[in-house]
Amino acid sequence: MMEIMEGSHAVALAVKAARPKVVAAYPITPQTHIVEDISQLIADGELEAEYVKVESEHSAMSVCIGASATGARTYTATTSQGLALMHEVIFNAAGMRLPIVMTVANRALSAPLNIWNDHQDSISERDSGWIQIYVEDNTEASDLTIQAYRIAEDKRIQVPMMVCMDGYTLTHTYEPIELLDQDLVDDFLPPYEPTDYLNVDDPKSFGMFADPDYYTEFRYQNHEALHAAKVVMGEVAKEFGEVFGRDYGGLIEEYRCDGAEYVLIAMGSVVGTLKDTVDDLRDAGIRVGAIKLRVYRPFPAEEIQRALTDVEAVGILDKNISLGSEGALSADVKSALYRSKTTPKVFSFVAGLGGRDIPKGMFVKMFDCMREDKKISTSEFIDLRTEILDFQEV
Amino acid sequence: MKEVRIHGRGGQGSVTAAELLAVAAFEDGKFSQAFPFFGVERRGAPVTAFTRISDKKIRLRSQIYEPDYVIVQDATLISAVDVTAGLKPDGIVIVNSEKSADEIGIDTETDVRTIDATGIALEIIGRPIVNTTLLGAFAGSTGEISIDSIKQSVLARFPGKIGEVNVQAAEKAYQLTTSTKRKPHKKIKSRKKGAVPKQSEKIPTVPFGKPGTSEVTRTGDWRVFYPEFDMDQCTRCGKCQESCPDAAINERTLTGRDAEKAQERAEELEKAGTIKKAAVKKAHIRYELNPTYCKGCGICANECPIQGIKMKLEEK
Repeated sequence: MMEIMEGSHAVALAVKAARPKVVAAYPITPQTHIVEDISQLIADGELEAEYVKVESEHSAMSVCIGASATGARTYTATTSQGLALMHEVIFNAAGMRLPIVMTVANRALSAPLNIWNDHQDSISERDSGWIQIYVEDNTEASDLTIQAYRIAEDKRIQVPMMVCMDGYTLTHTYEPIELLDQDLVDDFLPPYEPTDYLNVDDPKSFGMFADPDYYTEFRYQNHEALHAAKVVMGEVAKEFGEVFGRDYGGLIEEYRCDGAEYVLIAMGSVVGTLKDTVDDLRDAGIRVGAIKLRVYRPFPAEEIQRALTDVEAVGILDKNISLGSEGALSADVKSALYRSKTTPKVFSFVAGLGGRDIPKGMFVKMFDCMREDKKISTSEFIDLRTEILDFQEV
Repeated sequence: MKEVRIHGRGGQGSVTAAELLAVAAFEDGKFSQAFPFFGVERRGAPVTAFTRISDKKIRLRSQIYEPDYVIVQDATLISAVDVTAGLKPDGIVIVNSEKSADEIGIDTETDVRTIDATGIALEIIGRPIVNTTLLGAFAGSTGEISIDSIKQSVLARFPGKIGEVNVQAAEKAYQLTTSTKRKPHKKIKSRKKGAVPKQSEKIPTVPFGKPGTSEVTRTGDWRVFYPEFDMDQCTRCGKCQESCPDAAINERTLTGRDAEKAQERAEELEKAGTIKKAAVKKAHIRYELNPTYCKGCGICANECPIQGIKMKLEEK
């Protein structure tokens, strides 16, 4: 059944359907509506959970870690500076293998202060050991919230998961949502049963110290768990599709890539605009395609290699930049292609920072760069307003 | 697909209007999408909101550059924002104004419809919140959406009395606009330049900027109500001045004959027991409104500990 609502509300309803026991969050735009709606659901008695009001995001994640360690299903959400403030404890959540689910309402990082959307916040947490998925629309955000608990709590992996949705572009957008049926969710997602948990009757120490003789092995296991998550995500997505009738493809979604000479890779809600652009160009007889990279960590290197076997050139859109290097996705795709038998030409684009809109014309411009084989930099700021800059020679 | 762009100011309900429109379209059996673009998050600052309506699922996420329809919630925006930018040649602009289309100085050859939404809202809702009234006008002027769905979406969002009066206002605007015929509009040759001077576009390397721009932002243009100070009751506590977000309340010290007159009046009031002795000493102090910057937000009236400030409807 479909209903029209704001993206944030859809996520709050999905969280309710997942029946977490503890929610701890600190409000920050554009995440605020999500946690406001959840606190309302709890206050109204529609969700039986403890909402812990905290004084910062660092505390929010710390509460989630503590609660999750006692065996409770936990949820939090944040964005931008809030996620940056969580940075230290983010790594603890992963290292302690706690299946916390967090929505990141993607937003740019300061300075200069900017409240609008890009992917810099979650990309900057890519090495933390969390699974990261980027969604295209609000139904996907809702569905993935349910899937995230199944994935994170899977005994074979036990890792936390971020569901990344574009701030404003998704969180503040009203659109029709495929609602989740509570009975189906209850069957699909049984209550969380941890193997190890903090229990006063059986005292244990948790997240303790590992000296050089053991630290590497913990890190290795964490790394392998993320690789194994690829298999788990495939299984969960398949089962979800069978139960709810919605399948988002695998770690990547290939859109009109059959016979495509030029393919653009992007993440998040901008993929919708990209798909429309691909349709326009295909109608004009230009052989282009798109890849929606859904799962960013673990990185789907094999899937990227396979999808790009026969293409002339690949373009990568990064809504982030590893300053002094290049867009993070671009670096990862290039690294994947290094081990590939056939390597297409690579065009790396940085665009859409701090909420700068990416209209269809911007994608046409990117495809034009690829088709004309233009010489561009390793991280071409394709929507740069050069007219407002003074360039200096060093 | 039909695309609608709504221009308004923070606090006027532009985002809500876009959302209600999307909900109404969904009620009509269409796919729809509504989203905002916020500037600075401040009451009165220009806000843009967007709605798409389509028979198919909408994937497009960019802002709307070539709208089929534009709704302008506040005619004072016309001088500050290019409200008709990219408007399709057969598009329609709906402006909240008591003036006629030719009088409002809009730079377009497209079909412009005006409706006195503020007047209707004040009459029926009792507050100058015009978004639902304009949605009624949108339904009437464009026929893109049924008035019943507009009413349904308004009632779902605002249950009870508030919803009912908003529905009445939308209905009235609908009735007034369904009879309006398309009228060719005269293009204005010289466009009124914005009140906000365009600053140099070049940006520095380090994000250092000149402090504040509130001096050039004539927030007084946004005012519907203005505060009236009862200086006989006033204790000169200064709370109104402190709470004014636009520093639009000035303190003036009376001198000479004016000060003497104020003193005499205060003494009379003290004798009558209306004010305390402490207030008499400050009788020469006056609070005055700076109409250039007072945006009529009413915070001063709300903060005044003796309810000595009344918000009055501004005469047009």
